[in-house]
Amino acid sequence: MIILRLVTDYLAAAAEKWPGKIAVVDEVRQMTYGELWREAERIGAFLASRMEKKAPVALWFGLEGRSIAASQGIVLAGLPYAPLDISMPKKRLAKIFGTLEASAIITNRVCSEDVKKFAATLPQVPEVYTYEDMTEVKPSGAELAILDRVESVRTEDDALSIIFTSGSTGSPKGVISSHRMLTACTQWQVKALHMDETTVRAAQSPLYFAMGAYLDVYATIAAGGELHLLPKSLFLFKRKLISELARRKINLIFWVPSVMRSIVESKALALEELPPLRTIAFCGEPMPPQILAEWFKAFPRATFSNHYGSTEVTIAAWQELDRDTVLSMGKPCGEKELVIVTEDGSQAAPGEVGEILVRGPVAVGYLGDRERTEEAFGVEERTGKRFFHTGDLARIDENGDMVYVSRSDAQVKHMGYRIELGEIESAALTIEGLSAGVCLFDKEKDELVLFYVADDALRGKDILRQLSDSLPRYMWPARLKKLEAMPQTEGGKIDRRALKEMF
Amino acid sequence: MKLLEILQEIHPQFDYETSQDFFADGLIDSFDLTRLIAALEEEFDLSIDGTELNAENFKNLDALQGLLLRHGVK
Repeated sequence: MIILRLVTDYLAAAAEKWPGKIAVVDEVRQMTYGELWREAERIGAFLASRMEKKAPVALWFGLEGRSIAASQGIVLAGLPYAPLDISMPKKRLAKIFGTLEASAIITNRVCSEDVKKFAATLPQVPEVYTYEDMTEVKPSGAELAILDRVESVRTEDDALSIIFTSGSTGSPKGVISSHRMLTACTQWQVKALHMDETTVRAAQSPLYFAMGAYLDVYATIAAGGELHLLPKSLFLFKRKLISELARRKINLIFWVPSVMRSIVESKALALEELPPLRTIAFCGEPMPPQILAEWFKAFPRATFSNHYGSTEVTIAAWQELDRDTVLSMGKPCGEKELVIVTEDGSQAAPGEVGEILVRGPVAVGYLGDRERTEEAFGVEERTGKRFFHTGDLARIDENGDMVYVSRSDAQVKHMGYRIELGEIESAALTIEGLSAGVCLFDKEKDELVLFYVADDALRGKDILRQLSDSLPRYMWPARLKKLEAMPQTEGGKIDRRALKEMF
Repeated sequence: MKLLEILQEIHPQFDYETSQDFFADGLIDSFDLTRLIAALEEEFDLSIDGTELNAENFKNLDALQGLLLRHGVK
Protein backbone atom coordinates (compact mmCIF):
# COMPACT_ATOMS: atom_id res chain seq x y z
CA MET A 1 0.00 0.00 0.00
CA ILE A 2 1.04 3.55 -0.70
CA ILE A 3 1.07 5.99 2.20
CA LEU A 4 0.36 9.48 1.03
CA ARG A 5 -0.82 12.85 2.16
CA LEU A 6 -3.62 13.95 -0.15
CA VAL A 7 -6.45 11.73 -1.36
CA THR A 8 -5.61 12.40 -5.01
CA ASP A 9 -2.12 10.96 -4.45
CA TYR A 10 -3.77 7.53 -4.25
CA LEU A 11 -5.24 7.88 -7.70
CA ALA A 12 -2.02 9.30 -9.16
CA ALA A 13 -0.03 6.37 -7.77
CA ALA A 14 -2.56 3.75 -8.86
CA ALA A 15 -2.72 5.20 -12.38
CA GLU A 16 1.03 4.98 -12.64
CA LYS A 17 1.26 1.45 -11.30
CA TRP A 18 -1.84 -0.09 -12.92
CA PRO A 19 -2.87 2.18 -15.84
CA GLY A 20 -4.81 -0.54 -17.67
CA LYS A 21 -6.47 -2.12 -14.64
CA ILE A 22 -10.23 -1.69 -14.14
CA ALA A 23 -10.90 0.79 -11.32
CA VAL A 24 -14.63 1.51 -11.38
CA VAL A 25 -17.55 -0.35 -12.93
CA ASP A 26 -21.01 1.19 -13.24
CA GLU A 27 -24.08 0.36 -15.30
CA VAL A 28 -22.84 1.76 -18.58
CA ARG A 29 -19.11 1.98 -18.40
CA GLN A 30 -15.99 0.66 -16.80
CA MET A 31 -13.04 2.95 -16.27
CA THR A 32 -9.41 1.98 -15.87
CA TYR A 33 -7.07 3.72 -13.44
CA GLY A 34 -5.43 5.41 -16.40
CA GLU A 35 -8.74 6.78 -17.67
CA LEU A 36 -9.85 7.83 -14.22
CA TRP A 37 -6.67 9.81 -13.72
CA ARG A 38 -6.65 11.34 -17.19
CA GLU A 39 -10.24 12.54 -16.90
CA ALA A 40 -9.72 13.81 -13.35
CA GLU A 41 -6.70 15.77 -14.53
CA ARG A 42 -8.64 17.31 -17.42
CA ILE A 43 -11.41 18.37 -15.06
CA GLY A 44 -8.82 19.73 -12.65
CA ALA A 45 -7.16 21.78 -15.39
CA PHE A 46 -10.52 23.06 -16.65
CA LEU A 47 -11.54 24.23 -13.18
CA ALA A 48 -8.19 25.57 -12.01
CA SER A 49 -8.07 28.07 -14.85
CA ARG A 50 -11.70 29.16 -14.46
CA MET A 51 -12.64 29.14 -10.77
CA GLU A 52 -11.42 32.22 -8.98
CA LYS A 53 -13.05 31.62 -5.63
CA LYS A 54 -12.25 28.72 -3.31
CA ALA A 55 -15.98 27.88 -3.29
CA PRO A 56 -17.25 24.28 -3.43
CA VAL A 57 -18.19 22.57 -6.68
CA ALA A 58 -21.30 20.39 -6.65
CA LEU A 59 -21.60 16.98 -8.33
CA TRP A 60 -24.93 16.26 -9.99
CA PHE A 61 -24.71 12.60 -11.00
CA GLY A 62 -26.50 9.34 -10.51
CA LEU A 63 -24.39 6.29 -9.71
CA GLU A 64 -21.63 6.86 -12.22
CA GLY A 65 -17.93 6.16 -12.20
CA ARG A 66 -17.53 9.53 -13.87
CA SER A 67 -18.66 11.24 -10.67
CA ILE A 68 -15.57 9.78 -8.98
CA ALA A 69 -13.27 11.12 -11.70
CA ALA A 70 -15.03 14.50 -11.44
CA SER A 71 -14.65 14.57 -7.65
CA GLN A 72 -10.91 13.93 -7.95
CA GLY A 73 -10.63 16.62 -10.63
CA ILE A 74 -12.24 19.14 -8.29
CA VAL A 75 -9.81 18.11 -5.56
CA LEU A 76 -6.83 18.51 -7.91
CA ALA A 77 -8.00 22.06 -8.57
CA GLY A 78 -7.79 22.69 -4.83
CA LEU A 79 -11.56 22.98 -4.36
CA PRO A 80 -13.96 21.04 -2.11
CA TYR A 81 -16.57 18.85 -3.81
CA ALA A 82 -20.16 18.30 -2.73
CA PRO A 83 -21.92 15.17 -4.02
CA LEU A 84 -25.68 15.65 -4.29
CA ASP A 85 -28.55 13.22 -3.94
CA ILE A 86 -30.32 14.23 -7.12
CA SER A 87 -33.39 12.14 -6.31
CA MET A 88 -34.22 14.42 -3.41
CA PRO A 89 -36.94 17.07 -3.79
CA LYS A 90 -35.80 20.29 -5.49
CA LYS A 91 -36.95 22.26 -2.45
CA ARG A 92 -34.42 20.52 -0.24
CA LEU A 93 -31.71 20.75 -2.89
CA ALA A 94 -32.32 24.50 -3.01
CA LYS A 95 -31.82 24.67 0.76
CA ILE A 96 -28.55 22.80 0.36
CA PHE A 97 -27.37 25.26 -2.30
CA GLY A 98 -28.28 28.09 0.06
CA THR A 99 -25.68 26.78 2.50
CA LEU A 100 -23.20 25.52 -0.08
CA GLU A 101 -22.85 28.70 -2.18
CA ALA A 102 -21.33 26.54 -4.89
CA SER A 103 -19.50 28.29 -7.69
CA ALA A 104 -20.22 25.52 -10.18
CA ILE A 105 -22.14 22.29 -10.77
CA ILE A 106 -20.67 19.43 -12.78
CA THR A 107 -23.18 17.12 -14.41
CA ASN A 108 -23.47 14.96 -17.52
CA ARG A 109 -24.90 15.98 -20.88
CA VAL A 110 -28.16 14.13 -20.33
CA CYS A 111 -28.99 16.06 -17.14
CA SER A 112 -27.49 19.40 -18.11
CA GLU A 113 -30.70 21.11 -19.33
CA ASP A 114 -32.55 20.21 -16.12
CA VAL A 115 -29.62 21.29 -14.01
CA LYS A 116 -29.38 24.63 -15.81
CA LYS A 117 -33.08 25.24 -15.20
CA PHE A 118 -32.66 24.41 -11.52
CA ALA A 119 -29.50 26.52 -11.19
CA ALA A 120 -31.30 29.53 -12.66
CA THR A 121 -33.79 29.45 -9.76
CA LEU A 122 -31.05 29.84 -7.16
CA PRO A 123 -30.28 33.25 -5.65
CA GLN A 124 -26.60 32.76 -6.49
CA VAL A 125 -26.54 31.09 -9.89
CA PRO A 126 -23.63 28.62 -10.20
CA GLU A 127 -21.93 27.78 -13.50
CA VAL A 128 -23.11 24.49 -15.00
CA TYR A 129 -20.45 22.39 -16.75
CA THR A 130 -20.87 19.00 -18.36
CA TYR A 131 -18.44 16.19 -17.81
CA GLU A 132 -18.24 15.60 -21.54
CA ASP A 133 -17.31 19.20 -22.31
CA MET A 134 -14.66 19.14 -19.63
CA THR A 135 -13.01 15.88 -20.64
CA GLU A 136 -13.32 15.62 -24.43
CA VAL A 137 -10.71 18.26 -25.11
CA LYS A 138 -7.09 18.02 -24.04
CA PRO A 139 -6.14 20.83 -21.68
CA SER A 140 -3.78 23.47 -23.08
CA GLY A 141 -0.24 23.92 -21.77
CA ALA A 142 -1.32 27.11 -20.05
CA GLU A 143 -4.20 25.35 -18.32
CA LEU A 144 -1.93 22.57 -17.14
CA ALA A 145 0.54 25.09 -15.80
CA ILE A 146 -2.19 26.74 -13.73
CA LEU A 147 -3.28 23.34 -12.44
CA ASP A 148 0.31 22.59 -11.46
CA ARG A 149 0.55 25.80 -9.51
CA VAL A 150 -2.78 25.28 -7.76
CA GLU A 151 -1.95 21.67 -6.97
CA SER A 152 1.38 22.47 -5.41
CA VAL A 153 -0.07 24.68 -2.68
CA ARG A 154 -2.64 22.18 -1.46
CA THR A 155 -2.27 20.88 2.09
CA GLU A 156 -3.69 17.96 4.03
CA ASP A 157 -5.77 20.34 6.15
CA ASP A 158 -7.62 21.65 3.10
CA ALA A 159 -11.37 21.08 2.97
CA LEU A 160 -11.85 17.95 0.88
CA SER A 161 -15.59 17.75 0.54
CA ILE A 162 -18.97 18.59 1.95
CA ILE A 163 -21.59 15.98 2.67
CA PHE A 164 -25.08 16.98 3.71
CA THR A 165 -26.93 15.15 6.45
CA SER A 166 -30.27 15.77 8.08
CA GLY A 167 -30.39 18.85 10.34
CA SER A 168 -32.61 19.25 13.39
CA THR A 169 -33.74 22.80 12.58
CA GLY A 170 -35.09 21.90 9.15
CA SER A 171 -32.05 22.68 7.00
CA PRO A 172 -29.57 19.95 6.10
CA LYS A 173 -26.14 20.26 7.74
CA GLY A 174 -23.01 20.24 5.56
CA VAL A 175 -20.15 18.30 7.12
CA ILE A 176 -16.75 19.54 5.89
CA SER A 177 -14.10 16.84 5.75
CA SER A 178 -10.36 17.27 5.29
CA HIS A 179 -7.74 15.25 3.43
CA ARG A 180 -6.19 14.37 6.77
CA MET A 181 -9.37 12.73 8.07
CA LEU A 182 -9.88 10.63 4.93
CA THR A 183 -6.27 9.58 4.36
CA ALA A 184 -5.90 8.50 8.00
CA CYS A 185 -9.02 6.37 7.75
CA THR A 186 -8.20 5.04 4.28
CA GLN A 187 -4.75 3.91 5.35
CA TRP A 188 -6.20 2.17 8.35
CA GLN A 189 -8.98 0.47 6.43
CA VAL A 190 -6.83 -0.91 3.60
CA LYS A 191 -4.74 -2.67 6.22
CA ALA A 192 -7.55 -3.73 8.55
CA LEU A 193 -9.66 -5.23 5.76
CA HIS A 194 -6.59 -6.78 4.04
CA MET A 195 -7.31 -4.97 0.80
CA ASP A 196 -5.02 -5.24 -2.21
CA GLU A 197 -5.19 -5.20 -6.00
CA THR A 198 -7.26 -8.40 -5.98
CA THR A 199 -10.02 -6.69 -3.99
CA VAL A 200 -13.36 -6.43 -5.80
CA ARG A 201 -15.59 -4.23 -3.69
CA ALA A 202 -19.30 -3.48 -4.21
CA ALA A 203 -20.54 -0.08 -3.07
CA GLN A 204 -24.04 -0.18 -1.67
CA SER A 205 -24.43 3.55 -1.35
CA PRO A 206 -23.66 6.56 -3.52
CA LEU A 207 -21.10 9.20 -2.57
CA TYR A 208 -23.56 11.55 -0.87
CA PHE A 209 -24.81 8.86 1.51
CA ALA A 210 -22.25 9.27 4.28
CA MET A 211 -18.53 9.35 4.75
CA GLY A 212 -18.51 5.53 4.73
CA ALA A 213 -19.22 5.67 1.00
CA TYR A 214 -15.99 7.64 0.57
CA LEU A 215 -14.07 4.68 1.91
CA ASP A 216 -15.54 2.52 -0.82
CA VAL A 217 -13.81 4.86 -3.23
CA TYR A 218 -10.59 5.84 -1.48
CA ALA A 219 -9.72 2.49 0.10
CA THR A 220 -10.34 0.72 -3.21
CA ILE A 221 -8.14 3.17 -5.10
CA ALA A 222 -5.41 3.07 -2.44
CA ALA A 223 -5.38 -0.73 -2.69
CA GLY A 224 -5.56 -0.76 -6.49
CA GLY A 225 -8.76 -2.79 -6.37
CA GLU A 226 -11.94 -2.72 -8.43
CA LEU A 227 -15.04 -0.83 -7.28
CA HIS A 228 -18.52 -1.76 -8.48
CA LEU A 229 -21.25 0.87 -8.21
CA LEU A 230 -24.43 -1.17 -7.95
CA PRO A 231 -27.63 0.37 -9.31
CA LYS A 232 -30.31 1.08 -6.73
CA SER A 233 -32.82 -1.14 -8.52
CA LEU A 234 -30.63 -4.14 -7.77
CA PHE A 235 -31.43 -3.69 -4.08
CA LEU A 236 -35.17 -4.22 -4.62
CA PHE A 237 -34.91 -7.96 -5.05
CA LYS A 238 -32.25 -9.46 -2.90
CA ARG A 239 -31.86 -12.80 -4.63
CA LYS A 240 -31.07 -11.00 -7.84
CA LEU A 241 -28.66 -8.85 -5.87
CA ILE A 242 -26.78 -11.87 -4.50
CA SER A 243 -26.63 -13.54 -7.92
CA GLU A 244 -25.28 -10.31 -9.35
CA LEU A 245 -22.58 -10.13 -6.66
CA ALA A 246 -21.63 -13.69 -7.57
CA ARG A 247 -21.54 -12.88 -11.28
CA ARG A 248 -19.29 -9.87 -10.64
CA LYS A 249 -17.06 -11.92 -8.28
CA ILE A 250 -17.40 -9.40 -5.46
CA ASN A 251 -15.12 -10.31 -2.56
CA LEU A 252 -15.59 -7.35 -0.19
CA ILE A 253 -18.65 -5.53 1.08
CA PHE A 254 -18.92 -2.73 3.61
CA TRP A 255 -22.65 -2.28 3.98
CA VAL A 256 -25.35 -1.24 6.45
CA PRO A 257 -27.01 -3.93 8.59
CA SER A 258 -30.51 -3.02 7.24
CA VAL A 259 -29.54 -4.28 3.80
CA MET A 260 -27.84 -7.36 5.22
CA ARG A 261 -30.98 -8.08 7.22
CA SER A 262 -33.28 -7.84 4.22
CA ILE A 263 -30.99 -10.20 2.32
CA VAL A 264 -31.41 -12.79 5.08
CA GLU A 265 -35.16 -12.20 5.25
CA SER A 266 -35.58 -12.82 1.53
CA LYS A 267 -33.64 -16.09 1.93
CA ALA A 268 -31.13 -14.97 -0.67
CA LEU A 269 -28.27 -16.55 1.30
CA ALA A 270 -29.78 -19.97 0.58
CA LEU A 271 -28.99 -19.56 -3.11
CA GLU A 272 -26.69 -22.17 -4.57
CA GLU A 273 -24.24 -19.76 -6.06
CA LEU A 274 -22.97 -17.22 -3.56
CA PRO A 275 -20.42 -14.48 -4.22
CA PRO A 276 -16.76 -15.21 -3.27
CA LEU A 277 -16.88 -12.86 -0.28
CA ARG A 278 -13.67 -12.77 1.75
CA THR A 279 -14.42 -9.67 3.79
CA ILE A 280 -17.83 -8.74 5.18
CA ALA A 281 -17.91 -5.46 7.06
CA PHE A 282 -20.79 -3.36 8.27
CA CYS A 283 -21.37 0.05 9.78
CA GLY A 284 -24.03 2.63 10.52
CA GLU A 285 -26.41 0.92 12.92
CA PRO A 286 -26.54 -2.01 15.35
CA MET A 287 -26.40 -5.48 13.74
CA PRO A 288 -29.01 -7.96 15.00
CA PRO A 289 -27.03 -11.03 16.22
CA GLN A 290 -29.41 -13.56 14.63
CA ILE A 291 -28.91 -11.89 11.24
CA LEU A 292 -25.15 -11.97 11.64
CA ALA A 293 -25.36 -15.68 12.52
CA GLU A 294 -26.97 -16.38 9.13
CA TRP A 295 -24.16 -14.57 7.33
CA PHE A 296 -21.57 -16.56 9.28
CA LYS A 297 -23.32 -19.74 8.20
CA ALA A 298 -23.37 -18.74 4.54
CA PHE A 299 -19.76 -17.48 4.49
CA PRO A 300 -17.83 -19.60 7.00
CA ARG A 301 -14.43 -18.60 5.64
CA ALA A 302 -14.96 -14.84 5.39
CA THR A 303 -13.60 -12.28 7.86
CA PHE A 304 -16.31 -10.28 9.58
CA SER A 305 -16.05 -6.90 11.24
CA ASN A 306 -18.35 -4.36 12.83
CA HIS A 307 -17.58 -0.64 12.54
CA TYR A 308 -18.69 2.47 14.38
CA GLY A 309 -18.49 5.92 12.89
CA SER A 310 -20.29 8.90 11.45
CA THR A 311 -19.87 11.43 8.68
CA GLU A 312 -18.06 13.73 11.14
CA VAL A 313 -15.39 11.19 12.06
CA THR A 314 -15.50 8.50 9.33
CA ILE A 315 -14.70 5.24 11.13
CA ALA A 316 -13.86 5.64 14.80
CA ALA A 317 -13.98 2.11 16.21
CA TRP A 318 -14.22 -1.46 15.05
CA GLN A 319 -14.48 -5.01 16.17
CA GLU A 320 -13.19 -8.11 14.40
CA LEU A 321 -15.76 -10.83 14.81
CA ASP A 322 -15.93 -14.55 15.07
CA ARG A 323 -19.03 -16.59 15.67
CA ASP A 324 -18.92 -16.22 19.45
CA THR A 325 -18.06 -12.53 19.69
CA VAL A 326 -20.63 -10.47 21.54
CA LEU A 327 -21.29 -7.35 19.46
CA SER A 328 -20.04 -4.17 21.09
CA MET A 329 -18.53 -0.96 19.79
CA GLY A 330 -15.07 -2.51 19.75
CA LYS A 331 -11.79 -0.67 19.95
CA PRO A 332 -10.66 2.64 18.44
CA CYS A 333 -9.11 2.41 15.01
CA GLY A 334 -6.13 4.10 13.41
CA GLU A 335 -5.31 7.42 15.00
CA LYS A 336 -8.70 7.70 16.71
CA GLU A 337 -9.33 7.67 20.46
CA LEU A 338 -12.69 7.24 22.13
CA VAL A 339 -13.60 8.53 25.57
CA ILE A 340 -16.89 8.53 27.40
CA VAL A 341 -17.53 11.82 29.15
CA THR A 342 -20.28 12.81 31.56
CA GLU A 343 -22.17 16.10 31.40
CA ASP A 344 -19.50 18.05 33.33
CA GLY A 345 -16.85 16.94 30.83
CA SER A 346 -15.06 14.49 33.10
CA GLN A 347 -14.35 10.91 32.10
CA ALA A 348 -17.19 8.52 33.00
CA ALA A 349 -16.55 5.84 35.63
CA PRO A 350 -16.80 2.17 34.51
CA GLY A 351 -20.48 1.36 33.99
CA GLU A 352 -21.51 5.00 33.98
CA VAL A 353 -23.38 6.26 30.92
CA GLY A 354 -21.90 9.25 29.09
CA GLU A 355 -21.40 10.75 25.66
CA ILE A 356 -18.79 9.35 23.29
CA LEU A 357 -16.09 11.83 22.39
CA VAL A 358 -13.93 10.97 19.38
CA ARG A 359 -10.41 12.44 19.34
CA GLY A 360 -8.03 12.51 16.40
CA PRO A 361 -8.48 13.40 12.72
CA VAL A 362 -12.16 14.40 12.68
CA ALA A 363 -14.09 16.71 10.33
CA VAL A 364 -13.44 20.44 10.07
CA GLY A 365 -16.99 21.43 11.08
CA TYR A 366 -20.40 22.32 9.65
CA LEU A 367 -20.44 24.63 6.64
CA GLY A 368 -21.63 28.14 7.44
CA ASP A 369 -22.71 27.19 10.93
CA ARG A 370 -20.22 28.37 13.48
CA GLU A 371 -22.56 27.85 16.41
CA ARG A 372 -23.15 24.17 15.81
CA THR A 373 -19.52 23.65 14.86
CA GLU A 374 -18.38 25.10 18.19
CA GLU A 375 -20.94 23.05 20.06
CA ALA A 376 -19.82 19.78 18.54
CA PHE A 377 -16.12 20.19 17.69
CA GLY A 378 -13.13 21.40 19.63
CA VAL A 379 -9.39 21.15 20.16
CA GLU A 380 -7.95 19.60 23.29
CA GLU A 381 -5.61 22.13 24.86
CA ARG A 382 -3.10 19.72 26.32
CA THR A 383 -2.51 17.64 23.18
CA GLY A 384 -3.71 19.90 20.39
CA LYS A 385 -5.89 17.02 19.14
CA ARG A 386 -9.25 17.74 17.57
CA PHE A 387 -12.35 16.12 19.02
CA PHE A 388 -16.02 15.63 18.16
CA HIS A 389 -19.03 15.20 20.46
CA THR A 390 -20.88 12.32 18.80
CA GLY A 391 -24.21 12.65 20.62
CA ASP A 392 -24.06 8.87 21.10
CA LEU A 393 -24.41 7.63 24.66
CA ALA A 394 -22.41 4.61 25.80
CA ARG A 395 -20.87 2.92 28.83
CA ILE A 396 -18.00 0.58 29.57
CA ASP A 397 -19.24 -2.88 30.57
CA GLU A 398 -17.71 -5.35 33.01
CA ASN A 399 -15.39 -6.75 30.30
CA GLY A 400 -14.03 -3.33 29.54
CA ASP A 401 -15.89 -3.09 26.20
CA MET A 402 -17.70 0.02 25.10
CA VAL A 403 -21.43 -0.61 24.73
CA TYR A 404 -23.80 1.68 22.84
CA VAL A 405 -26.78 2.91 24.88
CA SER A 406 -28.76 5.44 22.81
CA ARG A 407 -28.72 8.86 21.21
CA SER A 408 -28.70 11.92 23.44
CA ASP A 409 -30.90 13.82 20.97
CA ALA A 410 -33.67 13.25 18.43
CA GLN A 411 -31.46 11.71 15.74
CA VAL A 412 -32.51 8.27 14.52
CA LYS A 413 -31.18 5.69 12.08
CA HIS A 414 -33.71 4.36 9.61
CA MET A 415 -32.62 1.89 6.92
CA GLY A 416 -29.06 3.11 7.42
CA TYR A 417 -29.97 6.75 6.88
CA ARG A 418 -29.34 9.30 9.58
CA ILE A 419 -32.43 11.38 10.25
CA GLU A 420 -33.11 14.32 12.55
CA LEU A 421 -36.74 14.08 13.62
CA GLY A 422 -36.69 17.87 13.94
CA GLU A 423 -36.24 18.20 10.17
CA ILE A 424 -39.42 16.21 9.55
CA GLU A 425 -41.29 18.23 12.16
CA SER A 426 -40.24 21.57 10.68
CA ALA A 427 -41.32 20.39 7.24
CA ALA A 428 -44.69 19.31 8.68
CA LEU A 429 -45.19 22.65 10.39
CA THR A 430 -44.96 24.52 7.10
CA ILE A 431 -48.16 22.76 5.94
CA GLU A 432 -51.18 25.02 6.02
CA GLY A 433 -53.87 23.86 8.44
CA LEU A 434 -51.47 21.79 10.52
CA SER A 435 -51.01 23.35 13.93
CA ALA A 436 -48.82 20.84 15.75
CA GLY A 437 -46.61 18.00 14.56
CA VAL A 438 -44.29 15.63 16.36
CA CYS A 439 -42.37 12.90 14.61
CA LEU A 440 -41.22 9.83 16.50
CA PHE A 441 -39.46 6.66 15.48
CA ASP A 442 -41.12 3.33 16.21
CA LYS A 443 -38.03 1.19 16.69
CA GLU A 444 -39.91 -2.07 16.83
CA LYS A 445 -41.52 -1.59 13.42
CA ASP A 446 -38.63 0.51 12.06
CA GLU A 447 -41.12 3.21 10.99
CA LEU A 448 -41.41 6.96 11.30
CA VAL A 449 -44.71 8.09 12.83
CA LEU A 450 -46.02 11.64 12.57
CA PHE A 451 -48.49 12.76 15.26
CA TYR A 452 -50.33 15.91 14.30
CA VAL A 453 -53.14 18.28 15.12
CA ALA A 454 -54.89 19.86 12.13
CA ASP A 455 -58.06 21.34 10.65
CA ASP A 456 -60.64 18.82 9.52
CA ALA A 457 -60.17 19.93 5.93
CA LEU A 458 -56.56 18.74 5.85
CA ARG A 459 -56.41 15.12 4.76
CA GLY A 460 -53.60 12.72 5.58
CA LYS A 461 -52.98 12.29 1.87
CA ASP A 462 -52.35 16.02 1.47
CA ILE A 463 -49.92 16.04 4.35
CA LEU A 464 -47.93 13.23 2.78
CA ARG A 465 -48.01 14.85 -0.63
CA GLN A 466 -46.60 18.06 0.78
CA LEU A 467 -43.97 16.26 2.84
CA SER A 468 -42.84 14.39 -0.25
CA ASP A 469 -42.22 17.75 -1.91
CA SER A 470 -39.77 18.82 0.75
CA LEU A 471 -38.24 15.66 2.24
CA PRO A 472 -36.23 12.82 0.73
CA ARG A 473 -38.05 9.53 0.56
CA TYR A 474 -36.37 7.91 3.54
CA MET A 475 -37.74 10.71 5.72
CA TRP A 476 -41.40 10.24 4.78
CA PRO A 477 -43.50 9.07 7.74
CA ALA A 478 -44.87 5.55 7.33
CA ARG A 479 -47.85 6.33 9.56
CA LEU A 480 -49.84 9.44 10.45
CA LYS A 481 -51.81 9.79 13.67
CA LYS A 482 -54.25 12.63 14.00
CA LEU A 483 -54.87 13.91 17.52
CA GLU A 484 -57.33 16.38 19.00
CA ALA A 485 -54.49 17.91 20.99
CA MET A 486 -50.88 17.09 21.82
CA PRO A 487 -50.48 15.43 25.21
CA GLN A 488 -48.49 17.64 27.55
CA THR A 489 -46.22 17.04 30.50
CA GLU A 490 -46.76 18.83 33.78
CA GLY A 491 -44.17 21.35 32.68
CA GLY A 492 -46.26 22.18 29.62
CA LYS A 493 -43.96 20.49 27.08
CA ILE A 494 -45.15 17.98 24.51
CA ASP A 495 -45.22 14.60 26.21
CA ARG A 496 -43.21 12.44 23.81
CA ARG A 497 -43.36 9.50 26.14
CA ALA A 498 -47.17 9.55 26.08
CA LEU A 499 -47.06 9.70 22.29
CA LYS A 500 -44.81 6.64 22.17
CA GLU A 501 -47.50 4.75 24.09
CA MET A 502 -49.80 5.40 21.13
CA PHE A 503 -47.62 3.69 18.46
CA MET B 1 -60.42 -3.77 -3.36
CA LYS B 2 -58.24 -4.87 -0.49
CA LEU B 3 -55.02 -4.95 -2.51
CA LEU B 4 -55.34 -1.34 -3.56
CA GLU B 5 -56.06 -0.35 0.03
CA ILE B 6 -52.85 -2.02 1.14
CA LEU B 7 -50.86 -0.14 -1.48
CA GLN B 8 -52.49 3.14 -0.61
CA GLU B 9 -51.71 2.54 3.02
CA ILE B 10 -48.03 2.66 2.06
CA HIS B 11 -48.19 5.94 0.16
CA PRO B 12 -51.71 7.44 0.05
CA GLN B 13 -50.46 10.26 -2.15
CA PHE B 14 -49.60 7.96 -5.06
CA ASP B 15 -51.83 6.61 -7.81
CA TYR B 16 -51.31 2.85 -7.92
CA GLU B 17 -54.25 2.23 -10.25
CA THR B 18 -52.88 3.69 -13.45
CA SER B 19 -49.17 2.92 -13.11
CA GLN B 20 -47.93 0.00 -15.18
CA ASP B 21 -44.57 -0.14 -13.49
CA PHE B 22 -44.41 0.81 -9.80
CA PHE B 23 -40.62 0.61 -9.75
CA ALA B 24 -39.96 2.70 -12.82
CA ASP B 25 -42.51 5.27 -11.67
CA GLY B 26 -40.99 5.43 -8.22
CA LEU B 27 -44.17 4.32 -6.43
CA ILE B 28 -42.40 1.51 -4.61
CA ASP B 29 -38.81 1.43 -3.43
CA SER B 30 -36.94 -1.22 -1.49
CA PHE B 31 -38.23 0.00 1.91
CA ASP B 32 -41.81 -0.07 0.63
CA LEU B 33 -41.41 -3.51 -0.85
CA THR B 34 -40.59 -5.01 2.54
CA ARG B 35 -43.70 -3.37 4.00
CA LEU B 36 -45.86 -4.49 1.10
CA ILE B 37 -44.78 -8.12 1.38
CA ALA B 38 -45.36 -8.12 5.14
CA ALA B 39 -48.81 -6.58 4.63
CA LEU B 40 -49.80 -9.09 1.93
CA GLU B 41 -48.64 -12.02 4.03
CA GLU B 42 -50.57 -10.78 7.04
CA GLU B 43 -53.75 -9.75 5.26
CA PHE B 44 -54.13 -12.83 3.08
CA ASP B 45 -52.45 -15.28 5.43
CA LEU B 46 -49.93 -16.53 2.92
CA SER B 47 -46.20 -16.86 2.65
CA ILE B 48 -44.39 -15.38 -0.33
CA ASP B 49 -41.43 -17.48 -1.32
CA GLY B 50 -38.01 -16.04 -2.12
CA THR B 51 -38.26 -17.29 -5.70
CA GLU B 52 -41.36 -15.15 -6.20
CA LEU B 53 -39.50 -12.00 -5.29
CA ASN B 54 -38.92 -10.45 -8.68
CA ALA B 55 -40.07 -7.34 -10.48
CA GLU B 56 -42.49 -9.28 -12.70
CA ASN B 57 -44.66 -10.26 -9.72
CA PHE B 58 -44.79 -6.83 -8.13
CA LYS B 59 -44.62 -4.25 -10.87
CA ASN B 60 -48.32 -3.33 -11.13
CA LEU B 61 -51.81 -4.16 -9.88
CA ASP B 62 -52.36 -6.92 -12.44
CA ALA B 63 -49.07 -8.56 -11.58
CA LEU B 64 -49.88 -8.47 -7.88
CA GLN B 65 -53.34 -9.88 -8.47
CA GLY B 66 -51.77 -12.70 -10.45
CA LEU B 67 -49.41 -13.41 -7.60
CA LEU B 68 -52.27 -13.48 -5.09
CA LEU B 69 -54.30 -15.73 -7.38
CA ARG B 70 -51.48 -18.27 -7.46
CA HIS B 71 -51.67 -18.27 -3.68
CA GLY B 72 -55.39 -19.05 -3.87
CA VAL B 73 -56.57 -15.53 -3.08
CA LYS B 74 -59.42 -14.42 -5.32
